[in-house]
Order: sequence, then C-alpha cells, then structure tokens
Amino acid sequence: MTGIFIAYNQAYYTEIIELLEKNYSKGFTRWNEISGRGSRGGEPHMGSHTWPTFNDAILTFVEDEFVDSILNDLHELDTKTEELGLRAFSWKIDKTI
Amino acid sequence: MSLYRTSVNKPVTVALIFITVAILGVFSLMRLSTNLFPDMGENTIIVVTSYSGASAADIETNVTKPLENSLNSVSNLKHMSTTSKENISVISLEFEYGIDIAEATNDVRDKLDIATQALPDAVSTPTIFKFSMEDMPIMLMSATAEESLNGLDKILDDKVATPLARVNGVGTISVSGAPKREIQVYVDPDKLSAYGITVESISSTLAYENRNTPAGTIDIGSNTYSVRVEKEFKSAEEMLNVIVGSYNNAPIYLKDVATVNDGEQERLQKVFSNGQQGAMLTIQKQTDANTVQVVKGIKKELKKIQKDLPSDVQLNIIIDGSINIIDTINSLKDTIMITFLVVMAVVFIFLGRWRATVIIVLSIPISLVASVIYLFATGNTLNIISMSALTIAIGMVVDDAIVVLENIASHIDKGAKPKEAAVHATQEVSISVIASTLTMLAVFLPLTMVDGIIGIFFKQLGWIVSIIMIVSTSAALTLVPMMCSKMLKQNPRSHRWHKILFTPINKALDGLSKGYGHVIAWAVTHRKSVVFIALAIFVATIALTIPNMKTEYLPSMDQGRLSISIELPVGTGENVTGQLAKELHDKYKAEIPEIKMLNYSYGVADEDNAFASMNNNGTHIISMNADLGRKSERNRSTQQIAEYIREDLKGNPIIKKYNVGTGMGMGGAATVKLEIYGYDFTTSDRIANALREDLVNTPQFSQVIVSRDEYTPEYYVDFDREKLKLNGIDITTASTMVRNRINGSVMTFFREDGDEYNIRVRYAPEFRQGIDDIENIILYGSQGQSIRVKDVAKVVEGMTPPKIERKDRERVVTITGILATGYALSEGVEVAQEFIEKAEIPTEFMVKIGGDYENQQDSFSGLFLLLVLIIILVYVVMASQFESLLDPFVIMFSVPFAITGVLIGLAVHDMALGVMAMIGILILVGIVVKNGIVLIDYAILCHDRGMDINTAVITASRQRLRPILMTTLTTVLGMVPMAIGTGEGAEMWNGLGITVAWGLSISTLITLILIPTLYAAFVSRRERRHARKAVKLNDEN
Repeated sequence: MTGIFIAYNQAYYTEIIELLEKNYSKGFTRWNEISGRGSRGGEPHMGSHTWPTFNDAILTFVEDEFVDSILNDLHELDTKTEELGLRAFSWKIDKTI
Repeated sequence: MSLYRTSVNKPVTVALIFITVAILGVFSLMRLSTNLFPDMGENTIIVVTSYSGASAADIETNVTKPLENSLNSVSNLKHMSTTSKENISVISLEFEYGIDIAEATNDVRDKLDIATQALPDAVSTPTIFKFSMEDMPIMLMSATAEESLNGLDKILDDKVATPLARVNGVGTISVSGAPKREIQVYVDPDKLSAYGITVESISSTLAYENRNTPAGTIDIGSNTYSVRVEKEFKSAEEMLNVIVGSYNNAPIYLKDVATVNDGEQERLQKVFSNGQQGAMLTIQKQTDANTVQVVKGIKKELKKIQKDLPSDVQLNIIIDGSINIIDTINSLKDTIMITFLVVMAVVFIFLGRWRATVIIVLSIPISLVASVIYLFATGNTLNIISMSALTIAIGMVVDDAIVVLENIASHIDKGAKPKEAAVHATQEVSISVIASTLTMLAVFLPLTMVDGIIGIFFKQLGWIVSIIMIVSTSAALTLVPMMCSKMLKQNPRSHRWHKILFTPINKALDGLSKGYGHVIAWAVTHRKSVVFIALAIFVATIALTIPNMKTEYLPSMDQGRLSISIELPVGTGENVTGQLAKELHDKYKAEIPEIKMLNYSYGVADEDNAFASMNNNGTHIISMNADLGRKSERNRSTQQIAEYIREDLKGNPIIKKYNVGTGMGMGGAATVKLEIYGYDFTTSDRIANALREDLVNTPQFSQVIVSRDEYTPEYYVDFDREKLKLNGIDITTASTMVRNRINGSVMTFFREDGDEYNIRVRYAPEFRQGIDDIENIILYGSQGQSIRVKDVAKVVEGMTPPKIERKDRERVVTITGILATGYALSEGVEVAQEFIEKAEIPTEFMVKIGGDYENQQDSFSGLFLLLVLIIILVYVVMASQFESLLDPFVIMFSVPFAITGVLIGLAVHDMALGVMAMIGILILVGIVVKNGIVLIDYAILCHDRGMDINTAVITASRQRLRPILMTTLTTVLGMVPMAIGTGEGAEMWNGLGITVAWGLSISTLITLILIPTLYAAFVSRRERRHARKAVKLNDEN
C-alpha cells in the first residue's frame, strides 16, 4: 500500500474526491481549513487578511497499482489551474491492520 | 457548515426566502398609501376660553396671563402663543414634533383644572382643540347654478355634502356662499311705535303662533287616538295674517306693520368661481386619513352625485390636494427608475458580463421592496423622504454584491469550480463586506434617533437605508454566491459583438489605471507637494465659498396654487369690496394665462361654517384661491406669479393689507419672522412699522406683514345708566333691544321638508342705514313708555383696540417677511439683522428672529451634533476593522474633501445650504470613507505580502481603481437624476442629490491621490521610527 498526502487549495475539494473515486480509492482522511505555504513559490494559504485562502489536506492510503494514475491526475489538475495550488506526496506503507 | 456553503448547497431555500421577501414587499407596495411628507402627527393644542364682555386688555390680565402661568409648566412645550381679543382668549401651545399628543392633552387639561379655579367666575370652562397640518382642507370645490341658485344651499347640503361626508376619511364639509334661506320679517318702526308694538313682541307672538303640539291620546270605543294641534306656518304668507297686537280694540295684523320676505340671509359670503357666482365647498379630512385615498373616494362619489343634481348645477374642483402629492410621488418613481437603469448600465459596462450584471442588479429590487415591508408594517407612507431614501440607496446596495462577485470571478479565473469559488471567495470578503455595511449603519442608524421635526423626517430615511443595507449585505453573502455558483462559468465564451463593445472599454479602463498608477508613483515621491496642493484646495474652497454661503431651512415647493387674502380699510362696504374683487379677478384672468381656476369670496362668513369663520372674514376682506396647474405645463413658477400679484396689489391705494400665499405648511415659501417683544403698544407699533418700512423696500422681501391690526373704527351706543334706570330698564335689556332691531330677533323657525329656517324679525333695511337710524331706535321702558336711543345714550364713533398677541408670556408683534425669488433665508436674515441693529429699540424691548430661521438654527445645531457623532462612530467601526488607529485616521481625510465638494457644488448651482444638503453631508461621511477603505485595505495587503510601501500603494491604487470607480459612479450617477430633476416637487430633493453627487465626486478625485500618498507617508515614518528603535535596542545590547 502507498500513502498519499495531498495538500491543496480548498477549492479543489470536490474535484479531488471525484479523482480518487475514479481511481478506485474510496477511503481518505481530511483536514479542513488549515493553513500552509509551499517552498517553490505560489501563494501561501494562511486564511489571514494578507493571504485569505485556506488549504485542505487529504491523507489517503491506496493500493499500489493506482498510485501513478492518481498522481498523474493530480499533476494534470495542478498544471491546468496552477494558481490555485496543489501538492501531493507518497510513501510506502510497511504494515497495516 | 458555513452560511455560504449552506446557501450554495441549498439554492432552492435561498431563492425561495428572497422570493418570499419580494412577494411580501410587492404586497406591501400595493397597499401602501402615498403622501407628501411622513406623518407628522399633531403638535399644537389650542385652548379657547371666553369671558363675555371683557375687553382685550381685561382678557389678557384676567384670563390669558393666569392660564399662561400654569400652562407654562406643561412638559415638551416649545412655544406658547396667545391672542386676547374681546370676549375670547386663545392660547396655542406648540409642542415638539413626535411627542404623544394625547399625553400632552392630559397634561394641559390637568394644568387647566388647577388654573380655572383662580379665574373670574364668569369665565367659561376652557375648551381644548388639537390642531395639525392635517386639518388643512384637502379639496375646494365650486358649485355654480343658474335656475337653482336659490335652492343651492339645500341642494348642496342634501345631495352633495351629505353623501360626500359618508366617504371614508372625510372629516368636515363646509359650504359657503350658497344663499341660505331665511324668512325676514321687516318691520316699520314708525308704525310699530304708532301701535305701541315692539320687535320682541312680534317675534314672540310669531313663536307662539307657530307651533305643533301633541295633545295626548283618547280612547274612543276600543280604539286609541292621539290628538294633535298642528298650527305651524305652512307658508311665509300665512304669517302676514297673524294678529300681533290691538289698537283701539281693533286687531293689528302683521301685514299692517311689516313685510314678510321669504328670501335669503342678508349678510352672506359671496363666492365666485371663474367669474360665476355660486357656492364653495371646503372639504377637510379626518386627521389620520390619507389625502390621496380620501380624494379618490370623493371623486368616485362625485361621479354618482353629478347624475342626481339638477342639470344647471355644476360642480368644479378648484383645488385638489391630491394632485400635487400624486405628481410628486410619480416624479420620484421616475427618478428611481432612471437611477436603477443608470446603475445597471454602469455595472454592465464595468463588468462586461450580462450574467454578472443580472446577479448584481437583482439585489436592488429585493432590498428596496424589503424596506417597503418596513414602511407598510409601521404604517408609514410612500412620501418624499422615504422615496428619496430609496433613490439614495440604489447606488449603494450594489456595492456589496459587486465586491463578492468580483472575488468569486477572480477565483473562477484562477481555475476554481464556480461552486467552490462561490463559497470560499465569499468567505474571504465577508468580513470587509460586513464592515463596510457597519460604517453605513454608523451613519444611518443615528439618524433614527433624532427628535423634533427633523427626527420625523429622517427617522424613515435612517431606517430605510439601514434596512436596505442589511438586506443587501445578506443578499450579497447568500443570494449572490448561490447565483454565482449556478450562473457563472469557467472560461465563458465571448461573442464577437461583445469583443467589439468591450475591447475599447477595457482598453480605456486599463489605460486609465495605468495613467493613475503613474500619478500615484509621482505623488508618493512628492508627498509634501501633494499634501500642500490638497490643503490649498481645501483652504481655497473654504475661503471662496463660505463668505458667500447662503443658507436656508427647507426648499419651497412649487405647489401650483395661490391663496390670496386682501384687506380693505375696515368698514368698506360689501359693494365696494365686491367691485374690487371682480376687477382683480378679471385682470388676473386676463394677465396671467397660467390661472386655470380663480375663485374669490368676500363678505361675512356664516357662523355655522366652521372653516370659513375660522379664517379672516368680513365685508372688507376678499379671499382668492387660484389653481395654476402643473409645474411642467407653465413657464413661470408659483413664486413668480405670486410676486407679480404682490407687485400689483402693492400699487393699489385702497388695499390696506394683503397676503399672497404660495402653499400651505411644509414646502411653503420661506419666511423671516421678526418678533418684537415688549409691553407698550405704541412703542412696539412704532418699532414694527419702522422695521416693516425698512424691509418692504429691500429686494430680498416680496411681502411684509405686521401681525398687529390697527385700531378699528366702530360705533358705540354709550348708554347713560341713570337715564335708563329712570325709565326702569338696565343695560342688558337696552342692549338686547338694540341688537334685536339691527341684527334681528330669532325666536322661531319655519319648517319645511324636514329643514328649519330662521324667522328673523328686525327693522326693515331702510331703517338701519346711518347713525341717525341708530339714534332713533325706539326702546320701551318698564311702564311701556317709548324712548329713543338718543334720549338715553350717545352714539359715538370710537376705536377698538386690536387683539393682544403674546408669545412665551410676553406681548409680541410679529413682522412676517416672505422672501423674494432667488433670495435665500440667510440673505433675508442678514438684511433684517442690519435693520434691527440700526433701529432704535428701547431696553425693555427685544427683537428676535423666529420662524424658519429659528427652525433652521435648531435643526442645524442638531444635525451638526449628529455629524460629530457619526464621524466618531465611523472611525470606531473602521478602527476595529483595521485593528489600527492610524489607518482609519488616514482614511478620514476623505471627509473634509467631501465638504469641499459640497461647497463647490452648492456654489456652482447657486444653491443655499439647507437641511436637505446637511443630510447629504451626513450621508457622505459614510460613503466617502468606503473608497478609502477599499484602497487602504489592499495597500496593507500588498505591503504585508512583501512589497515596499510605495510599490504597495501604487499597486493597490491601480488594482482598486476599477472597483472604486464603479461604486462611485453607481452612487454619483444614481444621484444625478435626483440632483437635476425638474419634476413636480423636485425642489425638495435637488439639494440632497447635488450635495451627494458633488461631495462624492470631488472627494473621490482628491482622495484617490491624497489618501495613498498620506498612507505611504505615515507608514514610512512609522517604519523609520521602528527601524531607529531597533537600531537603538541593538546598540544597547
């Protein structure tokens, strides 16, 4: 199994859920209205006066065969609407119960 | 779930909530009645006390003064004016507007209860009346007839007045000028004295002979019959054969000593309409009824009535009080419509998207009708104030929606799905939207707390705009995101015509913001020059406009009617007065083509005609009413026509006094009243006449009237008590006898068809024509001996002192000056003040300027206080929004330039600063800071994002130019129809429109440059200070 952490502008929410479902991954854990900023540029999402937007974050664990497809789709989404902001990170899972 | 997500997720609920509001609003709108002004309620209580036989001076000392002393402690009393004249004391208590009149009446009654105990025994119990503007007649009608002229009184009474009185809301209907039937018994005094018969005995004999008496019932067999004596006169001729006495055992019939004339009353107010004699009906409404509805009801009824009238009786409307109201409200409706279209056009041009435009302008009708619900629920009307409030609000309601929509659109442009964008973008700007609404509420809610007349006026304005603001903000935060999520699209396709239309517009706007960016770039590096120029503009405007500044109270409205009263010297005969009235009528009809209907009356009003007898009337007084029709249909204003007539009357040597009024109550001509307080009659007369002479000869005044009448000539029958006593009679008996011979004795009535007519016995007219005739009147002593008046009395010509007027417990003479066209109140006051200073006024006398000037001073000081309060509140709201004391301080610099703009605007339009303009200034405080907020808010954001302050200010200015221009244009262009409107009643709101439009335009132009510069200056100073502190700390460490 692979864990994927997706941090994104909260406007992406419905699209990401749809994207995961399309890739046969149902489960996820979401943090709502959280702040954050990237290291490679793009606008911070701090929910403050200066940076009014918020981030959401989703942590999902998916079967290995879907990982590439999910990451590809996410990348495609990000490049299509670069200004909104979306990042995803994945890592191997040793064990699960 | 947040409010925004809920509303986006539940479009049906949100839509239905607003549809419900709209339906309720439309429902209220349909049932809402219209009026010229908000309901002002009653504010005057009149106390009438009679003390028969007392002279004006006696009344003053014995009745008026004690009552004044005790009534003075009634709470909320503004002024107390009293008039003491022969037999009667009239005290008029003027209260602040908006008080509970019922409570005041109780208070007055309590005070009177205490005071009456101390009054002389013969004084009647004081009567209390409530009085208000609402008691003015709402309709004047003329009735003309040819064949039916003699029966006109009865026809009007039965067929017109009675059915009209049944119309809902109609109060009193008084008929004047209709010949009233009366049976005159004209006796010949010589014959009477020959037979030893008196007027009294004839009158009482007729009363005894003219009787129907039920005599009881009798049983005849099994039936009961009632017995009656029916000997009332069936005809006037029947009276001729009544035996009124005997002489040498021969019966003397009435026909032997008198003639009987079944005719009309001798003294009668004669009424002419468009030259034809007839009658006039004056219709008053019930206090709480609505003029427009009552008149509508009357007109409907009139259609039915006209059918039942004899064909020669014509009813015509002289003055219809509803026309002005309906026209005024209609012209305001047009203004609202135009404003709506202008705002819509601005939004469309700036956004370039029809979907966005629809979403934004939809909030206008929704918030407007929501405020109509308030009007309906609180029993208010659609009037000048409430409609102006709606017009003011139109330009402002779209602001919130624009901010929300712009942010949603920019999120969508970044790639967010409309639904998500709607939620998050709304959430982002919600705080600033709510804060900007709060600044508006800080302006408008305090308006609801003012008291007095201004309070009544602006309570509605305050509530309406506040409600509209709250509803429009709610719509902006729920309805707008919901509709955006449904209607806005990602990457909308644009049509070819769209490109053709909007490419140049966008280019122009981009060019504008680029150029503006350059200006700001220059300004932030030349801070001192910018501040200096701004200061120079401010000081120069103040220096140039303030010295020539004119002020006024309320603008006078062109109501299209004139009421003229002309007084000839007392004692002028009815024929002379009538002749002059006819001449004037013919002249004005010929010379003033604007006159649609001219009606005049003269003569003594009938005692039972309440309205006519309340007004000044007499054989020497002419009153005229002219209908000038709609303002749009004539070239000259009512004022100008009034001045033309005044000029004409001025040159007429036989006219002693005249008053040409241009309207009643609010919106009438502006007046300067000089009140001369002091006890001595001669001195106050001298001062009054000197001031009158001064004022009359200035161009500022077109008419000046002194309130105190002159001594009027009268004949006194001065009885010698001793001589009377020798003949066994007293003054009362003697004076009654004189009265019965001249005025007549009425002891019985002639009854016909259920109506009663006086049977009046008096000397025939030829026996009461001169002093000789009075001297030769025969009285009868206790032994029946005849005495001529000249044997027991002297008939002398004397002068009756005028009535004594007092105000606030001191004798007063009032000089009322009506301002000429083109002159403002302040100019009149200035001239008057000069004359007062020059006049020789003894120390015990005081001259005060009252009337409109006093009201103006009161309301200006109230509004000024309110201005200070509003500025503080607005600052507080902004400071808490920015969580800073400095930022709002910088933004507040827009306010002085709003005042600069107002001053320039008033100077350009040659207008006076009145209450309406003051209200405009109050509103401006809220509006002008909005631009500053939008700009500074973004500058702070850019600065926080890491730009240096100059770049931040330049970027913010360029970025925010569009929304600032857009909201400013919607408000300014929304005000233009108000400012330049020429429709019916437009004089009333022009000032408001001009103030807001000019104030906002000038303030925006200056603040667009000054505010960013000042902000940059303040922030760099703060940063330098911080930097120095940091260096210092480092050094210390």
